[in-house]
Amino acid sequence: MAACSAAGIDIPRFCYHQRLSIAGNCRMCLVEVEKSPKPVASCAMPAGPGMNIKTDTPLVKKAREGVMEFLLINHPLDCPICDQGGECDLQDQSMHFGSDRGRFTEMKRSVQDKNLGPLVKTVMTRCIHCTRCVRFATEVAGVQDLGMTGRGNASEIGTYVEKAMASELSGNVIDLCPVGALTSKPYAFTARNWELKSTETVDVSDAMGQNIRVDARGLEVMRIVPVQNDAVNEEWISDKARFQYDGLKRQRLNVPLVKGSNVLEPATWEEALVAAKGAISKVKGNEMSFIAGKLADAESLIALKDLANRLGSGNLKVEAGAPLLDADVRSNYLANSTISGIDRADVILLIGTNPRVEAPVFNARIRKTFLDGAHVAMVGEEVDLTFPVENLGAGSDALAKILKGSPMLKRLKEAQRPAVIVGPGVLNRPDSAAVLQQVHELVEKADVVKDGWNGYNVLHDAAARVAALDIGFMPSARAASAPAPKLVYLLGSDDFDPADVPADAFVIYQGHHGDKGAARADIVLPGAAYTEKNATFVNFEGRTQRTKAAVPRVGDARNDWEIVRALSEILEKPLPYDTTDQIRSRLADVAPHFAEVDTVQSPMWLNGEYFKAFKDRAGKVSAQAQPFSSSVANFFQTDVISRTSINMAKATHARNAIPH
Amino acid sequence: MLRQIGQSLGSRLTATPCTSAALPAFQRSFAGIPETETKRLGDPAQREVPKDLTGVLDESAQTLFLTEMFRGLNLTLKAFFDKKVTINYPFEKGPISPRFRGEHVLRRYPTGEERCIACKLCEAVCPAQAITIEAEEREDGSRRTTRYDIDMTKCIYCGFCQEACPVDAIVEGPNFEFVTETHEELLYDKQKLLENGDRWETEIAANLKNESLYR
Amino acid sequence: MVRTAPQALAQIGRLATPAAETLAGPVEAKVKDFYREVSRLLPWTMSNYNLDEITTLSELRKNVSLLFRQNDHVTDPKVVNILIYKGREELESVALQHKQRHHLIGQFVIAPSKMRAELHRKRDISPFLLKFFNNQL
Repeated sequence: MAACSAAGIDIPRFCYHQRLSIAGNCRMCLVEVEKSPKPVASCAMPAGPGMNIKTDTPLVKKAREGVMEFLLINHPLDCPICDQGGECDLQDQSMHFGSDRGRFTEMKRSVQDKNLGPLVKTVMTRCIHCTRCVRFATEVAGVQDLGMTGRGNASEIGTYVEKAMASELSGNVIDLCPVGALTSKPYAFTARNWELKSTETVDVSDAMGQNIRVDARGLEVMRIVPVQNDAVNEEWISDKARFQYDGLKRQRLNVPLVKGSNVLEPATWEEALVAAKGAISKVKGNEMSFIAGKLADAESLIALKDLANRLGSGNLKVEAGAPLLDADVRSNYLANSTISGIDRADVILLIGTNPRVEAPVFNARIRKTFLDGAHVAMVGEEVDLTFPVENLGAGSDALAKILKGSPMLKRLKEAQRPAVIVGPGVLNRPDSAAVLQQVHELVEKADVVKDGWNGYNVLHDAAARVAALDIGFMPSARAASAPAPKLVYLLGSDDFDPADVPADAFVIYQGHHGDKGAARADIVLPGAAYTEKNATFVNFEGRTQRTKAAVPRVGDARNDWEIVRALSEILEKPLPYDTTDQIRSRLADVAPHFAEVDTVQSPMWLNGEYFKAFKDRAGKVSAQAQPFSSSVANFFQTDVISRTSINMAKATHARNAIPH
Repeated sequence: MLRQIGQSLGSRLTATPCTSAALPAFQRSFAGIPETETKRLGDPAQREVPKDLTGVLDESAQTLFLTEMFRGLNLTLKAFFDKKVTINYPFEKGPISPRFRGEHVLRRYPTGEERCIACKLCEAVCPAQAITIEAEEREDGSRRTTRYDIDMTKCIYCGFCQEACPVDAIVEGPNFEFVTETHEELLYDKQKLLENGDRWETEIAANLKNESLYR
Repeated sequence: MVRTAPQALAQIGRLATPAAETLAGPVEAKVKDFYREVSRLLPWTMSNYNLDEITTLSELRKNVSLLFRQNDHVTDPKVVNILIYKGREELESVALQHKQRHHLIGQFVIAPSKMRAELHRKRDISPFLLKFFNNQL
């Protein structure tokens, strides 16, 4: 089949999928091969030299018509009520390859619907038993929840026991199912695919930058589906990326708010910005602090940093994590092997990271590497990563043990492409410098970085972190000795540390949802969510990607960087850019890779020179004994959009109800 | 001379047709108008002026006695006594075929359940994009619309929606007398007004039954 | 005191015709004459359309002069002629009551105050900020 498609001929199929194992049970791909007595399933037959493959002979046509007729025998007449109508493989292929009349006059069989959770809707009568979902769950997602029970006419796909699908990638079966048996429950019945306008953009639910396509009807986002990108997310997206869009319709900030006597009151933009100016002019430079949220885009980060510097403040930070990560050397905070490079690793050591909840699609990729024969070990709390992982210990004592000389060290040394992945479990700790120092010792000792292969990877848990580090949105040297801030500017930050926002500080919140930040704020400036702006994000491997606006902004909201630029002008320190192109060229000035979209620039390793500096810093802190734990407590609710989403709340309930 | 006049009058009244392919269109004799008349009354520039006595006398008689005028009035008088086909509209109405396409109606099943399953085929096929649909899962899990609007001023009453509907939910009923005073009333909203097709259900059901052989 | 519409019309002097505006002469004088004609009609307009409840005579005159000043920059005499013709048409429609009260209120009370606010704002902010406030970015 691959040979034919390389030659430009597409063969119809239902059960074959490029990234799953071959099943060969739908028989739609039958082609005629010369010298073969029967038609051959082209998905299963390897192409050999001298083969003559015929795809348009009467035999093939008859085979396709026959297979289609068989598939339609038990398929219910559900097209008007089926969500897959308009984008259904069965509909399309029966129009192309099927016969125009049926001759089935008996009773069709029907199957009971299975409950796979609040995200995936099942109508099992429509199932044609291609087993794509079973193979996906087993091979890619790693949860063996789905299977085929019964045989022949009575075969059913299901979980056998009533159990929700326990995988963070469960939504992908919706894309895989060629008919309307598995569909999206939140999207059920709401729209048809011909009504929707698609926009290819990037997801911000985690640091992976999964490529998504936002389907919108008018002002509303109706659904989110993946876009194929072999370098980042292959063809999958996590459940959070797929289903959190209904949070975009709730709790939205749509007008600027200024605190009157005790309560936030609606205001115009002029009033709000003038009020902000009033508050800012009362405060000295080092008494201001700027906290960026997890979903902040690069343009607004650079605008805020420029503004902060012009106001004389260096107190910048990104909320909730990695407080001591240094931005000097890029390879220090990126996944240097790149996401697709992990496919080639043969030994992987995960330190303080649970990729299953921090970046589920990356976890699927590591699983793929494991199935190819890699050995995966981890240091941290015991978690189930959907594949067997050797747990070497829980904390830095385990690291010390490895360093002293352990089979793991030997394995890393002998491996051709060893990979070490450090995650938020290490970076968010107060003693992270000490732990990182241990990690770097390990990297040196085990030759993780070789010629042509850099195996040192850092996994982040928020979409804004890498861009912030690239821009330098970090506390300056003097910030450590700054007094408690009297004015705090929150750029979409709702998970801030309460210690960072003193009770008497004046808070300006710029964001798109009404959550903790807006509740605490004295001035609220409504910004745009990721589906409503053209913004730049950098994922944890250093790939710059741009989102595209799919729907218009809500109410009186404005673009985030434009708000900062307008505020700067009101403060009489106007920033030097007026258009998107100008701010992007400013980004490119700061870091050239911002101009190279959708590619990864492998950064220099600098041969460990940098880590000598670490040694000094680590000398002040000693590693604590607590185990490394992930920063993600509940996968489904990590940022403000997923917390507002009802789908995610339902998924949390369902997940808590699953017996572990 | 009078006899001649009488003859010529008589011949004119019997209205002998003649072929006149050679004449220009406005001078060709139409049914019932003899060629001599058309020649006399046509384009003055191409008129054949009669030169013989008979012709001159004929022409004079026609001018004096307003011949063609009386012919026309005669026709009107005939029509006056003819049986009229006008019907007295509000009180008498013409027959309507069961296929007549009038005001739209959303039908129900005999149990009372609304037929429309929000498949959006009617919305997709409507050439005037007059139908707007939004749908959701109802509490009992079935697929139903939350919004079904037909803009009756955009609608061209083509009947494509009723042809497209797989469950015979949207049909065009036999009602064409739904005049309103404001434009807004003609933007049939949600399903409320359309369900007032409960009013027309009996007639529509009968029409559909008659037509079922052909649909 | 002008009481009726025909009297008002008589006061204007003549009906608007494009030809009438091609009279040669200095542009400023023509404009001033036209402005005086408009001002002469204002008291009658105020009473006839009950604009006393909405605004005062001097406010109305200021609004009218704002509208005149919007075309300050025009120098070409032909263009000025056309503008005066158009203005005269408007004046005629007001005098003959072809316009209704809400037209006048929108055109000569509300719109000029909005224009003033816009001009005031435009004076001291940059194009970027103007577009930002008007959500035109």
